[in-house]
Amino acid sequence: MEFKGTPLKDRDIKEKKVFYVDWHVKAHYAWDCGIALSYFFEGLKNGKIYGRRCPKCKRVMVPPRMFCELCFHPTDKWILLKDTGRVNTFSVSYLNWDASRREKPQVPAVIEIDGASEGMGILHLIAHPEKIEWENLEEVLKYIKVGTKVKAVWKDEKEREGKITDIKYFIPIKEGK
Amino acid sequence: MIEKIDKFDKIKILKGEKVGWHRYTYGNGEEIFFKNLIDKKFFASKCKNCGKLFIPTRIYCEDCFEEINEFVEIKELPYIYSYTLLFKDLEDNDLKEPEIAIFLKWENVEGGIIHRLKEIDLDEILIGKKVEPVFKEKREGNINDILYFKIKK
Repeated sequence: MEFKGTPLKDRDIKEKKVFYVDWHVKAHYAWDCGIALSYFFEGLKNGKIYGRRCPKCKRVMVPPRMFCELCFHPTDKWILLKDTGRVNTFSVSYLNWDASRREKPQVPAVIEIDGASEGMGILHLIAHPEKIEWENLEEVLKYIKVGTKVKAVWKDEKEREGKITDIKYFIPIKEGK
Repeated sequence: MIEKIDKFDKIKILKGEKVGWHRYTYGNGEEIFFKNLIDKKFFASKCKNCGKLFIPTRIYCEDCFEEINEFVEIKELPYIYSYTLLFKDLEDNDLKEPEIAIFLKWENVEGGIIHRLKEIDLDEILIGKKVEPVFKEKREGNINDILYFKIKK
């Protein structure tokens, strides 16, 4: 079936052959973190990562939550975790969050935090241990595998705001450290 | 046990902003209306079957589905069909002074446009009054080529 219409090309817009209006939208939002995450972010401000324990199945969960999603039991205890962990899964990405292209890749990863139960982790970035920025995919794969040990690099205490970005990134470290 | 939170400063709220944009092309029908705004003229579509006039311009009659090829200038001034007082802008910020948004119609023409009304006391009765446009000096073919409308004295 053929549709009647007037196809447009980029050129028609650039040369102003057709009339148009552009509209830029700013949508503000405020996200209420709730009890558990508020405590978690407050902890980050002090350079600490907190998990939450389920009294029934004894899991330590991070990010923390006020009830266990497996037992439906309220959680009861804050557990101070380490700022080290292991790579659970990672990706080498040439895209920014808004889908714009990057010249050099970044490495978002789920990091299982030491002290929390298996499979419990947070999403963050992994940086090159010395030069921070990664050159290419091959370089990333030299340093990072599933299971690689990583450590958080924190912002200066004064700059922390109680956000996930209070951790600048994680860097791979040697086993046993 | 669940902790009872009685101090609300312990609850964190993360604020942010999402930005997006879009481009709307008028298309063959509506474009004629906006093109003629550059010359300070208001154009309507005229259906050759039923004779009805439409603003903004379009290329099909919505009553008899006839294709429209005739576009005529409407020289008469529009009148205020309805109005609203606005106390906030599009992003929910308070306005220093309320603005008036009006829906304009032309006598014996279907449709109309929405625009601003200025140079007016709020006490004046508005509906039905004829208004005249105040144009921008540099016009590009969009609705903001008209700065606002004012009451015809």
